[in-house]
This record gives sequence, structure tokens and C-alpha cells, in this order.
Amino acid sequence: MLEIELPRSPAHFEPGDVVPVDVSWSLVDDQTRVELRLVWNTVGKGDQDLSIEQTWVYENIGLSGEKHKKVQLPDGPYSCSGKLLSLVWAFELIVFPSAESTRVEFVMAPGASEILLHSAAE
Amino acid sequence: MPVQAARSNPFATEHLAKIRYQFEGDSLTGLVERFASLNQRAALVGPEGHGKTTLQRELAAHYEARGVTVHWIRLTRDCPVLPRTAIAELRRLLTPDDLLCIDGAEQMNWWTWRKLMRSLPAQTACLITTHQPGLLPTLKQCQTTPELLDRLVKELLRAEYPDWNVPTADLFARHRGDLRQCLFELYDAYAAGELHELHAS
Repeated sequence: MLEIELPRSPAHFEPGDVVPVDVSWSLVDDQTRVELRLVWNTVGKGDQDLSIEQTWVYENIGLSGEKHKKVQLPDGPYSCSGKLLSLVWAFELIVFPSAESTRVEFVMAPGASEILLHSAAE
Repeated sequence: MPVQAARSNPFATEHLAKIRYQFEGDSLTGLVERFASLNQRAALVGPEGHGKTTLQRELAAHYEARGVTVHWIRLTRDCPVLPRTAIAELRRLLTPDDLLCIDGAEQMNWWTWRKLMRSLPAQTACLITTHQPGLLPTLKQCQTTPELLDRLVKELLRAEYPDWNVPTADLFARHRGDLRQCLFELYDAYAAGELHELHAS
């Protein structure tokens, strides 16, 4: 089992905020490492874009463990949504080599509120 | 009805990409056996949006899980030409145990196709998708049905809108069985709030 905990629910932040991130894992088989990634990706009708902004690697992880990390969010791009495209920020936790993963999405934009394009419904 | 956010659209690309190939009247094992009987060089044939690429991915994953190295060439109408160095690069990379998957092989002209085939090691497997038969023996002629579209739509709506009943028969007929176009139209209908209105009525 993999878990990512963020301090707020819903997880809405301003660009540049420092976010305390707690991650934990409880595994059945031995794995070599776990990676915490700060990513954004697009969702919509066309091709998907994905950007890995930062990666933290933990080696020799054992069958269970936990880590705490304070992450400073970048200045952009902002979370936004329209009819054709949404830009979504997320933390991802991935175990290797099994590639088991989990993901927690959050909003990052000025005012800690997703920018809505063309009156997109929340 | 306001425009619906792309991230909540059940017909967004990220959801469509997770759809597995739905076998009807055949099986993965059956196709693998037939592929072997065709000396592991064969074609998945059918019009656009009929599941060729989805099936190709399914078969590639089967071989990859068994340690086969899979190489991909993807050609589309927007990108129909192999990069100039591609064939030389393939000649360098491919081993007899590998599988070469070519998606959109019909985009290649005859000379490029011939050159590519001649560059493959004799034992290297090759699985292509193409609109017309003839380049390689046909492994499967891919077809779609209104029932298949109905099942896929229900599957995509199951998580968020399990009680929605979207009529798909007209959609299927309008797009002549091209499921990709059917699902794109449903994306637009959802985004415009039309599916919400349909359910509300």
C-alpha cells in the first residue's frame, strides 16, 4: 500500500507555497527504491502532456517506511480547466521495479483556486 | 448548462487509453497461436477506429511480459514518413528475438515498405496495423459493433455516472463504426453539458 498525505483537503495551494508532504509505503515484496514526484499533466480530448518537475528518490526502502518532505511549489503553470483541456498538478509515489504507484492531485494557482476557462463547471 | 471541465470528462484521452481490447469470438491465446503459425509476421486490418491499435498494444504487452523487446513505429496522416535514419537505426537495434510493431503501415509507400522489410533480421517478428490487406498475411480483420460501443460507453461512465443511459446506435451508424470518432463526439457532448441535459430529461 502506498500513501501520500497533504495538509489540506481539498488540496489547494498558491504558487511558491511550501507544502509538507507525508508519504508511506507498506509492500508485500522487496523493492529497490521509491520515488516521490511533483508532476503536472494535461487532461482532455487531444494528446496528453506530462512534465516531471521534481523527483526525490529514496533507496533501501525495506518493506515499509515513511518520509516527510517539505516541497516548495514552483511559480507555474497554474491549474486551469476548460472544455478541451485541464492542467492538473499532482504528487506521485512510485515503487521500483514493480512500478506500483499512487497519486494525489492538487490545485496550484493564484488565490489557491483553479482558473476556469469559458465558464467551465467545477 | 455550463461547459464541463476537461478533467472531469469521462471521454478524455487518459480514460480512452485505459480501455482494453474486447475480444469477441476469439482470444488473445488464439491470436498468439495464429501469429506463430504465420511465422510471426502479420497484419491487423481494418478501417480507422476499429480497434487495430488497441489490439496491437494488447499483443505487444503479451510479448513484452514474456521478455520480448518491442520496437514501435507509429505513422499517421499527420506524420506519414519514416525519419531518414529510421531504417538504418532499426537494422542496428533489431535482434531475431525482437518484435517490431508498425502502427499505420498503410502510410508507407511501397519502396519504403520493401526497404524496411528487407532490413529486418530473418527471425524478427513484425506486427503491423493497416487499413487494407496485402502488406503481410492478415492476422485479424478488426470489426466493431453497436453493442461493443455501448459496452465501452457504459465502462467509461461506470465510475461517475453509472445510471446514465447514452443512446449509441445512431452515433455508431453516423460514424460508420469508427469508435474513436464516436467517443470524440461523446467527449464534445459531455463538455457542452448535453449529456447532463439528456440524463436530466
